[in-house]
Amino acid sequence: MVLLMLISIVINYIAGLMIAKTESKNHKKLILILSVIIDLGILGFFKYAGFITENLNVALPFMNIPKISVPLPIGISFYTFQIMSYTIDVYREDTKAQKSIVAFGTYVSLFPQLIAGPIVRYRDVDIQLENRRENIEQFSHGVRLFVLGLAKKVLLANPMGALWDSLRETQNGGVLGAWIGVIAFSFQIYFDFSGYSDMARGLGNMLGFEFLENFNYPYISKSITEFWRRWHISLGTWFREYLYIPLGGNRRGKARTLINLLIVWMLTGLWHGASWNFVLWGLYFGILLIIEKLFLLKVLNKLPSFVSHIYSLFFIVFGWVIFYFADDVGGLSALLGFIPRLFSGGFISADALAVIKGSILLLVAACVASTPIIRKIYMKLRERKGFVVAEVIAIVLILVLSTASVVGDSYNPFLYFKF
Amino acid sequence: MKNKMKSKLISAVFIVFVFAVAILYAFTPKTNFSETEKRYLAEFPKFSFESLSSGKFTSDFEEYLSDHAPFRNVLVSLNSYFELAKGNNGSNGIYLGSDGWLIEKPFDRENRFDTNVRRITAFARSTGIPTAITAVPEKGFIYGENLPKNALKYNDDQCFKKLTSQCKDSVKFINLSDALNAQKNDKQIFYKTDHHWTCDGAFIGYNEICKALNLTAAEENSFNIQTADNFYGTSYSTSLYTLTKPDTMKIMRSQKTNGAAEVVIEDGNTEKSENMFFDDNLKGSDKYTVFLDGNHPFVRIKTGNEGGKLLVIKDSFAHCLVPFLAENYSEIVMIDLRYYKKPVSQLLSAESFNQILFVYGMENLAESRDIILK
Repeated sequence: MVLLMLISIVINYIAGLMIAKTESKNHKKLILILSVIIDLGILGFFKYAGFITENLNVALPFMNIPKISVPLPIGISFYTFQIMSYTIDVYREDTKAQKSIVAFGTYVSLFPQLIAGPIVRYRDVDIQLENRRENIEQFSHGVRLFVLGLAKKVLLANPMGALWDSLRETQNGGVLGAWIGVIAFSFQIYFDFSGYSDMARGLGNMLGFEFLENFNYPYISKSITEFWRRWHISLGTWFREYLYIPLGGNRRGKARTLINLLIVWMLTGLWHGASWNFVLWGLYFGILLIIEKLFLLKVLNKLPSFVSHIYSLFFIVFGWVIFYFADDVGGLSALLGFIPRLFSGGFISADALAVIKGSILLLVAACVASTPIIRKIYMKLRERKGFVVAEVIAIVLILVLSTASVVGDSYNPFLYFKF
Repeated sequence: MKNKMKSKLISAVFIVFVFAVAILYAFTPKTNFSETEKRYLAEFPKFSFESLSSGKFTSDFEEYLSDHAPFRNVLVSLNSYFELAKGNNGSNGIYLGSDGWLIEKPFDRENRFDTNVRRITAFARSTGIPTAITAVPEKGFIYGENLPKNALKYNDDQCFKKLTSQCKDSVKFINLSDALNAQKNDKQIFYKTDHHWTCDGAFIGYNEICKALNLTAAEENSFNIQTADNFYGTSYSTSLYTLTKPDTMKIMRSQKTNGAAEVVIEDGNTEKSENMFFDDNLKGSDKYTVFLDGNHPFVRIKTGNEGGKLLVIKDSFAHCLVPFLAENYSEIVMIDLRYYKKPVSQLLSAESFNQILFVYGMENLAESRDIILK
């Protein structure tokens, strides 16, 4: 897998240099297209080959294509997109070609964000790659970000995941039970993903890098359009910059704009995983965004903000339901089996209520942490005398509790022995 | 403080933490068996390119790290209390109740209870030997008032109902729930830190069994009382609510024999003992094994008393009950279906028993996959 990354680095490094050196516009284009085909080919093979052959076998059963199963190389979706941003930007002359293969390799294999993003565009870090100076302010900022991310992941996302699991497995938990379950999943995925992003940015800071923010309180959005400006910002930016706009964006008439949007969102969905539910999830948001673009956004702007807020959260949370049911947890049929639980079957069962009661504080904490309130308080208090003491205590507490939580989850008494 | 100083302080705290953890890992002694968990801890994974590329190495390494974390039990305990502070009592499978009660969560509803009971009744019909069954309810069912507010519901009464209706003719069902409930405030029927019933609880059970089987139960004052302090049972080691007080174990031994009997344990090899109580085990960490030395596939007890021959098919709830039953039988054979894999019918045709008695904790009766009776 490391080899695969080395190959990608070498190919794109050479492609970048060649694009920069070649005078002819056509040759530049040819090299770019070749490199993009190779990049997407590798991604396509390792991430989607199994999915494609499986579906081909369903569509054309007589072909009997052998099943391909290749292990998914870690971070391939992220670093492939990073690499492509480089070659495309070189081609567009938005950035200079990197002459040092070490610096370029550093960019691609930069470990903090390799696994879960953000997708760092080359042009955002090209200067930092060679001229960065680690300093103590940046380092301590990195510590804060890392610890914040750790808390999000271990103290919020993990217990939210456990809550979602137990509510999902509580059959006949009632409508409220099912909704709190999917809300818990919504929190899990947000704090998990943004926690990883924060940890990556924090580690980046410690090493002297500055990565752009990837999440900006997405759950306070008042429309789906706004949500996608706040959620996984680096991915949205990438698709807009390297797919939507090259496809013509909104400059080629209404019909073409709609088609472009659908293509972009279908692929955004597919990027998240090789499974039909992700395609559906992408299209779901594509359609919502189109509706908002056509007229709904104007309506939403006139409505009281809590109405548009509820509207947005409803569709976001429902989106996560589609997102959850990937093929490995039952796929679309499990999704169809789950959806009725959101709308029928009693209000809430005693079991579900007992489970939720034990998680009320967690849910409240997650709600607060989804808004900028804590950040605002922090900004106000940070200059106060002695605040640093509180900060140190908070950092130590988070580190200790997170460790305890990770170790606690692994604590696994051999129950069978007890009888 | 200047900004630069603050930055230095925060960076230093982080770096010290990271290095302190690394150094503690390197220098704390490693054990490969966890006493509280009763299991072997993960070993350091062997490195190979294959295991690295398949991801096995890293996931094994992660397991090794958390299994061998320095101050592991302290951290687990801290996590238990942290969950408690969040209002999530029972997150580790054990409720911290009032009065120092540690109570197992109710078992899963979707279980094998019906199947197991059906197998037992069908088996009983086939043997022609009088058969009875008794089940010890869950601690949380008896001591419900000590549960925290968010506790799930215990459904032992439904199990009792099912047992009553399914055991009509072939098996005599001995329902302990009324007797246990009636005396739960005068006597401590369960250990606070262990999932088992106490000798007091088992003695109530013994009386009910005698009533049902037309035996004369030995009087309570015909037993000597021995106590063992500092008993921390499974409920404690599962949850590590380390601030909980230990139980004092009360052991009831017949005045006549002081527990003396001819005990033969077959567990691969044959072990013999002259007493049903294994006092040496009180020194170890698993004190409950003082009764008949804990779990074994096959145990034969020649009691020296008058009476018939009894076959007990059981889990560990029987261990403190059988010494009472020894007062009424001349010979008792105990088999544990989790470990005893020979057909029971073979045993029944080789020896003649006057009575068969099933003794199970309700949870095991509902979840065991080993109740296979041929």
